[in-house]
Amino acid sequence: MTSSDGITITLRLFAIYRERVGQECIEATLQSGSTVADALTYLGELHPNTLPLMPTTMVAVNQEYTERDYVLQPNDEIALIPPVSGGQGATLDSYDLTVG
Amino acid sequence: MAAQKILITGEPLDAALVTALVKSNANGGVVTFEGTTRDETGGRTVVRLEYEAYPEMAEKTFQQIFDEVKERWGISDVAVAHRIGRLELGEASLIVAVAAPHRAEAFAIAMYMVDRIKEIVPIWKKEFFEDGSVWVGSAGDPQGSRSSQTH
Repeated sequence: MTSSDGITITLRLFAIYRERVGQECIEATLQSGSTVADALTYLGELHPNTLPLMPTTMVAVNQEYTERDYVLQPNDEIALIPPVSGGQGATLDSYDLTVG
Repeated sequence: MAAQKILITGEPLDAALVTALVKSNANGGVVTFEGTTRDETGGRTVVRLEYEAYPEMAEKTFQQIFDEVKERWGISDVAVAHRIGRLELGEASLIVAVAAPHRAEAFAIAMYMVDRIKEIVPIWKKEFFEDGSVWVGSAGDPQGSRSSQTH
């Protein structure tokens, strides 16, 4: 695939995204150089009912949490991760427990 | 025995079995946490729940949490089991077991793991009420933007 071509990526949808879109998976061709943010824009244009979810959504690319300015590579798997199942935890510092 | 066992299953969970994975004579303390489905949230009556996972990434993030525990406490006798699919009230959705030489670290690690699981493991909970349902934690859903205390 040359750089003038688009890149094909897969969007994986779970939970509230899956229900709103009605699909578990969308394959998309985006311009080379597209970022995670561009993929979200693409989804939002296709399914505007996902737009209200996006501010609190984390994104994983190939099963690693990733920032939205990440530049997508061909065949990347992008997963939209809405907030997970809850519980208000303590901060990491709460566990600063040293054991002698 | 260094356990580091991960189980994601649609079958009922057995806390004793998960605990048995981490027990050894080298350890003086075993802590097992069992998260169960509750019948009420935000004043509404819950009738059942469903959990949905991104399985491949859930496994990776559980392993990441194990790695963090190993790095921080030097403990690798840890096991976790998460139920997915439909759950009735009172059933266990999550079991975390930790064995450590001393009880203080076993308690701390169990707490740490449960909190980290709820932060980074992509498993979602849907609560069903008599008159509707909501994905817990999802903003953009008027009933779902609150956070949920699960213990």
